[in-house]
Amino acid sequence: MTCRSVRGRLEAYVDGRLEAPAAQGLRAHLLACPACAEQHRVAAMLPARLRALPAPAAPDLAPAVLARVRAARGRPELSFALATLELVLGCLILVQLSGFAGLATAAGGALRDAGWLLGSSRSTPVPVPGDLFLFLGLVGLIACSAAHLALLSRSGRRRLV
Amino acid sequence: MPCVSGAVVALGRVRPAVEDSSEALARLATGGDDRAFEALIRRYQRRVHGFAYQHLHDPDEAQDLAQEIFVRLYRALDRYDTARAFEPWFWKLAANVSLNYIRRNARTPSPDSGEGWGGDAQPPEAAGLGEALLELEPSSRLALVLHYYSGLSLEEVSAALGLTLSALKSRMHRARASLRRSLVEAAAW
Repeated sequence: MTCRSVRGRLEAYVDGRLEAPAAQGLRAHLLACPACAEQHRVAAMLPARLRALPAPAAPDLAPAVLARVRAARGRPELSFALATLELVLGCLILVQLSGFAGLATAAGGALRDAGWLLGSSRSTPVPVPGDLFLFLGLVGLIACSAAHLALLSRSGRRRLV
Repeated sequence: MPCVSGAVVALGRVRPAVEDSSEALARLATGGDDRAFEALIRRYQRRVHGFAYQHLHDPDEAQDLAQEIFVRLYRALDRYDTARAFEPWFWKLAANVSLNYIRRNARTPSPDSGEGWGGDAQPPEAAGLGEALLELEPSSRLALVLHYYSGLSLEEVSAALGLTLSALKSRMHRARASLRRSLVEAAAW
């Protein structure tokens, strides 16, 4: 065995993962080669040295962590207010634009626009295709604010003790 | 009602007790019990701070990273599957937070100046190994620290780092070989 091949296998040898013939050859080389024997000595001690690595005394992290967590929890109240405002405004705009009866007209217009976009209707909507974008935008706004509120409600379960 | 074995009732409230399992504490903390979360911090802070220190070799940054790990733990508690063991999940989170921390701060850790050791100097032999560790790739250093220093099994480390067991073993062999060469060279000087 050469020094190069021995040094490439030292960690496997230390872990007992070498096949018996290879381990035997490696042992024979270590007996004859002081430089590789020194590499082996360091390799054999390394796992224990890594387990015993010193570190400075740990500070008490709890007060600072709890303060950060509580500060982050204070802000959802503002988020709740904003999300509620989004939802209310979205609903008001939708009803104000078309009224409940007009919602059906808006939905019909959106369907016609979608038909034009998909190529099944030849009449070009004016503006192109305004009803659909308006309708989808408002529905998207309402869906976003509802999801926003649901997420906030979930995180709001954690209350200060 | 979450499992509160070993809990004691004080002032009309159920308080987590020191003998509660980490899983039970995590369940209580997920339900909004700050005392359970505090108990989790106190249980793991020494190991987490040590883990962060071995990764960064700077006492101030280690404290910053350790705090970040616990804050991220709090935010992630909703995703913790209480039917599973807490530690592997927690250390996976700690590993990800550490790698992101290194990327975000985009700096190479430098050898510890010795401040923050409270008067006890770091042993020179350990300092040599610490400096050699800093020369490794962060992901290789993380694997070694998680396995040898934090005491996770190879299976837990491979799950934490998203590696197959064989990929982890070869990465750790390469990292140990690199440390060994550095230490032998340093001793020869």
